[in-house]
Amino acid sequence: MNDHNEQFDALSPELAALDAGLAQLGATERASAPSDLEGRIIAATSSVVAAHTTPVLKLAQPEPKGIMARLSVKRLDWPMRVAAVIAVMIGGWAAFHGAGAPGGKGIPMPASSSAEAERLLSIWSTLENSGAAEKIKNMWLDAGEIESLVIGDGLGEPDGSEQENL
Amino acid sequence: MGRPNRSGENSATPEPSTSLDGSVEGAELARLLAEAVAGGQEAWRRIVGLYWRRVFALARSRLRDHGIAEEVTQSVFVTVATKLSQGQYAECGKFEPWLFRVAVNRIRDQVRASQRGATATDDDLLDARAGSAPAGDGTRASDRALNELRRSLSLLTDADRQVIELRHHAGLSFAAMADLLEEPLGTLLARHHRALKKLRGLMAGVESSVMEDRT
Repeated sequence: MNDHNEQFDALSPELAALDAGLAQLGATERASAPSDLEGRIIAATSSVVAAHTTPVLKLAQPEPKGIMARLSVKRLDWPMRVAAVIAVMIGGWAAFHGAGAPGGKGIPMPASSSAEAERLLSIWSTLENSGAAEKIKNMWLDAGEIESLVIGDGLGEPDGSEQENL
Repeated sequence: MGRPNRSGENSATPEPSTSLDGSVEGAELARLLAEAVAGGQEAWRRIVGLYWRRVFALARSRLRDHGIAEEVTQSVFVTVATKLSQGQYAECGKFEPWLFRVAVNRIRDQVRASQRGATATDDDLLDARAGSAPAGDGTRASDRALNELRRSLSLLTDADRQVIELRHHAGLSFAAMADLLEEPLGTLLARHHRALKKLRGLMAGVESSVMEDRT
């Protein structure tokens, strides 16, 4: 890259020295980063990357059917735990996919095909009909671990008409 | 670290191994990104390793608080990971400007939040004061010079300071900065040159001030 050669060639000796001093300051600031910060960043982001190792239902897909659970959680480390509970709840299917997101912004349940999505919805309906879904939701709410739970078909935002707020 | 060389990268003092060292070319970075988007943990770790110190240095310089800079740095990478996994970045060779745009926006938000609350203690200005005594050795003198540079930098306008910090703390090329700031390269080069001249003027003022402090 030679986008600024002329610029630096034209710098006066004083400004060139200042530029070198700034470069040294920048290197000092980079070196001052705590050594464990990289590990903390990776720990905080790995679940986000891992959550998408399988196809996630995209809204723009031709056959947008699936199941979407969106949670508002109070603690950062809960999305994965809640995701695991939901995974068990819907037959262990999602346990293989490790869905999760930090900050309580949402937990998409991936569906790699329309047929699979139909199966998820069917399982969820069964849970609803038996009252199990309501019990689980109340258990979480009573424990103060979540603020809300919305289950739907993944067609829109949690407050969309297609989705059902438990 | 010396002045930027003709390749456009800083001719640097050896950085920690996790910093960008120029060994990752565009094609390699594109491959890492593709793997990370597909859920590749090792690829993601390498990407984090390439940029985390640079993001931290940018945040540290602007926010002047070590702890907040750490939080902001983590937050930037959470945002980047989320956006990547949601397909919000399409690889076109502009990942670095894109990442640092996320960082600049996050830092700006933090600055605004800080301005609404109590003023944060400026660690470096305190350091500068502490280091204003006569230097006992070369290291002390070097530290004092860096602190004086920090102090002068803090007196620049936000726009001038940004172009300096993106260049020297984040280690961006001017081409990447032009992409990030959406400005013509020539304009950016002129901005940088003007900012250096202003900083030089401020440095002269700071030096006078330090001399007055000592007397």
